[in-house]
Amino acid sequence: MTDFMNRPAGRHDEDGEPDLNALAAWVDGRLDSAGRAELADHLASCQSCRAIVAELTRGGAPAASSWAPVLAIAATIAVAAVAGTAYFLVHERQPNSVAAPILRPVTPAAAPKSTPSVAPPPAAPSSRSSPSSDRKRAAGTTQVAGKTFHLVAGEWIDNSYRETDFLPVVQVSSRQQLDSIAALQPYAALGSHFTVVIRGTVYQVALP
Amino acid sequence: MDRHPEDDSTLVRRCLAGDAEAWHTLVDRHRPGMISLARRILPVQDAEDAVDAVLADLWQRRRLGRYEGRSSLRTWLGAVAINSALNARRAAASRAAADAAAAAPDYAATDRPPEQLHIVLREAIASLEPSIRIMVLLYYEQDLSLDAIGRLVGASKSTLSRALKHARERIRAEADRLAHERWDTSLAALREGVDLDRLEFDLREACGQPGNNRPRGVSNK
Repeated sequence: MTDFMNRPAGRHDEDGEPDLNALAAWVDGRLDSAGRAELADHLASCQSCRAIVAELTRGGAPAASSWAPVLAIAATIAVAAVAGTAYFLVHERQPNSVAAPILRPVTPAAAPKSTPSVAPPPAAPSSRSSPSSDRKRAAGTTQVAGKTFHLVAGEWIDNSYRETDFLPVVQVSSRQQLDSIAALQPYAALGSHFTVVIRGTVYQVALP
Repeated sequence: MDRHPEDDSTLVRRCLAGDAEAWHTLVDRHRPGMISLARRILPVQDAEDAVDAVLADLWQRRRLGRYEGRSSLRTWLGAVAINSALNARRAAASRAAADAAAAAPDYAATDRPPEQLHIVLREAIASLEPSIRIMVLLYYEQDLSLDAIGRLVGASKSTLSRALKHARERIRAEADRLAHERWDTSLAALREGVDLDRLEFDLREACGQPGNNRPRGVSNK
């Protein structure tokens, strides 16, 4: 409806008004991955927006029952693991602790077909077993070394990657580092930004 | 999620085109929910006033056009109602605080150990990465349950519980470091014999929930 794509999620407008569209979209589980990351940063330092989200959640607003909040803050938690925050994720990880069906994306068949103009589609598709949906997203999907990757915000994301799995994360930030990890070589063709899960470890590659 | 998704999007379009009948339908449908959210923040009469004022704004000033369709209309209107109610409560609180400050300025406040304790705890929380800080604040400041936070951030209750436990350890270490740096004392000295439950209680107080004086373990949520 408006050019909200140009506004960083969570940023207050020129009148100091909170980004209620972004906050409501988060509570409904409908923010795309970039929006969720931006909003998480904003919420961590904005008490009034936290209060809105909390009251909205407490007040019984539906929280992501059919739209998967997969990437978002869980992603940043996983990233923080690298900064030493979440060693527990590695040492105390419980493979079955992934929060249940609520976190799984709806399959395309179950998703709302389309509600024109007021219902953006889920932005981070990741259906593990739906070849038909893969075909539909062919432009943003590729296969490398037997793995399926989806293009999300300019980055190739392994289809099996779930931030909510809280696997240990290795950040790869230089070409030399990439070259030194043999397991990553088959995926180097993905370019400078990709995330791949190999034998229970998440490699997040972001080359300058 | 939303009982009238199609109807709501149609209604919004009709309202923005100036269709008064559509507006009345929208108000009938959503005003009760908005008031019920605002009532969690304000006394009932104030809640109704705040919601009616914001509804008038949505219609008369075409603020409804700010709805971008990125959430259900119900959730967005809920956010609008809550924002309005919080603004009203903040305005009332700042008036009350101004009156109280005028009556009895408390110059010695930061010399008291509880204030020092809260300062170092708040600063320790602020030192956490945003992704961790938001969980800590939603839990200790906003008093959301682990289930609710889990739904928001997309993590299981057990994962959140461990994350909070680890965050508390980091907060404790950083607050202790700050206490030594700032006042040449320890966190334990600021709060004699800090244990886990006590730290939980202190965190809630530091985050501005003085009314919640029951220490609560993570496992209770």
